[in-house]
Amino acid sequence: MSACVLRAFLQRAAVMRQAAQQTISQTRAFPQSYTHIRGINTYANSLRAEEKVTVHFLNRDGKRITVKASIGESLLDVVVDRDLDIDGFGACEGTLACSTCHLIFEEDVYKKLGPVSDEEMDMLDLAYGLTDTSRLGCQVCLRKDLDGMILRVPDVISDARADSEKESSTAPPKI
Amino acid sequence: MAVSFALSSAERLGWCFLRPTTAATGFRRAAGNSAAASVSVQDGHRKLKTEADLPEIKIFTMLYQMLFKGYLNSVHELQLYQKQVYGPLWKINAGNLQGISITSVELLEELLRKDEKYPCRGYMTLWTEHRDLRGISYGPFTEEGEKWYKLRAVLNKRMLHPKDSLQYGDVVNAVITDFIKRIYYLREMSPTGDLVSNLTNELYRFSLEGIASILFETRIGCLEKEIPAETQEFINSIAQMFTYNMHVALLPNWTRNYLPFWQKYIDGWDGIFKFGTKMINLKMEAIQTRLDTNQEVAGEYLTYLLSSGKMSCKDVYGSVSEVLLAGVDTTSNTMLWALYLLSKDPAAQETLHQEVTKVLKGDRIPTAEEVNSMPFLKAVIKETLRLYPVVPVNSRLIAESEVIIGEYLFPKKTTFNLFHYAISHDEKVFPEPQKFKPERWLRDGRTRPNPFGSIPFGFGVRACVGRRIAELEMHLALARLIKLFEMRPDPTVGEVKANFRSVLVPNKKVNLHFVERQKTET
Repeated sequence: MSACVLRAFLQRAAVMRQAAQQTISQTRAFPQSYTHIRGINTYANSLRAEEKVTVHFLNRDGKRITVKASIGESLLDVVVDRDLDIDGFGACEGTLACSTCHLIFEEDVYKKLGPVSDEEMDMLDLAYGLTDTSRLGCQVCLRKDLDGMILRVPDVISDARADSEKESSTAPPKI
Repeated sequence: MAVSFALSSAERLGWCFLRPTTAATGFRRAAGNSAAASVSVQDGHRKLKTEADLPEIKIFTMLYQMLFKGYLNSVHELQLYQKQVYGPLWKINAGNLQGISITSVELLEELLRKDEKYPCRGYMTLWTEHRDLRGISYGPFTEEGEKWYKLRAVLNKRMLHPKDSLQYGDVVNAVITDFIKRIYYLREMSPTGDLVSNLTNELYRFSLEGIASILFETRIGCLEKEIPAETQEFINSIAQMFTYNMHVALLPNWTRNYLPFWQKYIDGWDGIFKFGTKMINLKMEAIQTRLDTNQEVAGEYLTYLLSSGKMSCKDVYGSVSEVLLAGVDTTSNTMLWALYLLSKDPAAQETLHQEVTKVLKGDRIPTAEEVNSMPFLKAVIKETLRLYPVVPVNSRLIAESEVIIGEYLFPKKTTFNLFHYAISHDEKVFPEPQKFKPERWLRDGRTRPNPFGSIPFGFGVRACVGRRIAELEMHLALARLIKLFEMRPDPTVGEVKANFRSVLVPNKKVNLHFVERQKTET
C-alpha cells in the first residue's frame, strides 16, 4: 500500500507542486508586491515599492558598506539578497530563531523603529555584544524616514580572540 | 478539520553518545597557524590546561552514583551532586557516556557563542541506530551538517516565525475546547465532582491531539471518551522508548543479546514510526484523491511539506515523526508542572487569574494575539520550564576546530554535555532556585536573570523548531483553564518530585481538583 501510494505520489508531484504553490500563495497572511526569498515582509506599500533609501553598514573590519534598498525590505533581506560580506548573518533565515542578524543603531534612528516584540526581546537577550540600541535586522523594515541611517555590525566571539583570563561576556538583558 | 500544535526539540537528548576515542595527550602548535599564534600571544602569561587536567568520572563511579546513591531515576539531580563534587567542568568516561560536562552559566554561554555554522549535537548513535536498522531517514534531531541545515530551512517555514505560529491559533483553540469538555466530563465522574485523576495521561492526550492536528492535519481522537487503540499504542510506544533510553545508554552493547532493554527500546521506536507513517500515508492518499478529481489542494503544515518539492517522501516520514515525538512529551509535561505549581501557589494563581480576566471579559475565548499580551502568563511558563527544563541535559560536538572553554583547550571533535538542570538551579543565577517565582521573568524594569541560565528550547539555529507552537499551545490552554477553574492540589497525593525519562516526568500520578469559578468573578 505504501509503495503504491508512493508511486502515485511521485507521478503527481509536478501537478501537486503547481496546485499547492497556488494554494500556498493564496493563504499568505501578508500580500507581497514583489518576491522575497527570505523573511516575513510585514510592510509592503505598492505605491512606494519603487522608492529607494540608502543604508550604511559599518562592518566588523571598520569598512563601510553602502547600499540602496527598497522601502519595505527588512534589513536581513538587504544583507542576504545582496550577499553583503557579513559573516554568519541571518542564520535562521528570518524565522526569529537566532540572534545572528543583530545590528546596532544610532540612538535617534533607534527611537524611530517600531516596538520590540517579546519574541524579539527573547532573542536579543541571547545576542552577543548587546547594546541599548540593538535590534534584529529581520524585524526592521525600511521606511522613507530611515534614509541614510548608519548601522554597526557587532563583533562575534571567536577562539582566535578568546582570552582565558577574561570573564565570558554577559551582556545585560535588554528590558 | 485541521487542528494544531507541534513541538520539536532539535536538542532533545538524554546523553551524548560518542564512541570512545583516545584523548589527545598533547597539543602541538604549528608556527604557521595564525589562530594558535594568536592564542599563544594572548595567553603569554598563562598556560592553557587540557582535559587531562580535569576531574574524571569513570564507569564504576557513575554506576555507583546511580545505583547506590540513588540517582538512577533522577539523573538530573545527579548533575547537582556531581557539580558540588567536581566543580563546573569535568570529564565523563563511562561506557557509552563520553564528554566534557558543563554546569556553569558562564562556561555554557562561552561554548554556545562558539557554535559552528552547522551546530552539531554529537553522534546520536542510540537514535540513529534504529533508523539505520529500519531504513528510515534521519530528521531534525538526528541529521547533521549542511544536510541538517537544508532540512531545517524547510521545516522552519510556517512553523517558527511568530507570525506563522499565530495562524494556528484557531485550530489550537478547537483542541483546547475539546480538552475542556473532557475535563468537565472527568470532574463529573469523580467522587468529589471536581477531581481530575492521573492528569499526566490527560495532558498527553491533549498534547498528542494538538500536535497531530498540525502535523497530520487531522483529528486522531485522543480527546474522545474511548481513545482509539492505535493512538493509545503510539502513546505507549513513546513512553517505552524514553524509559529504556537510559538503560541502553549505560549498558555495553554486548548485553543487548542477553538483557531485554535494547529490544524494548527498539520496539518503542517501531511503534512511533508505525503511527507516524500511517498518518502521513493517509494524508498523501487524500492529496492524491483531490488531484485525481481536479480539486484544489489546500492544507497546512503537512501539505506544505509534501508539496514543497524540497523533501522526499522518505524524508517526510523521518522528520515529521521526530517533530511529533518531540511535541507530545515536552508540552504535556510542562503543562502538568505548570498546573501543579499553580495549585500549590494560590497567590501566583490569583495573579494569573486577574491578568486573564482583565483581558477576557465574559465567556470569550482568547486569541493567539491576546495571550501574547499577557506577560505573567508567559512568565509562569518560563518559570515552569526553568524548574523542570524540557531537556535537562543536552550536548554539542565541536567538530571543526579546537575550542577554548574557561582555562582549558579542547581538541577538535570534543563532545560537551550541557547540564541545563544544574544551571537553571544555580542560586547564583536564580536566587532561591527551588522556589516557583514567575515574577523573575517580567520585563518591568527589574534586573533579569542571565538569559543563558534557562534556554529550554535551545540556542541559535539548532534551537527547537516547534517552540512557537508549543508556547502558543501552553499559553492558550493555561489561560483558558485558569479562567474557568481554580486549581487545588489533591491532599492524598503529597509532594510530587521529578523522575528522569529523557524529559522530567512526575514520580507519581498527579490528581488536581478543578474547582469551577463563580461566574460573578468575571
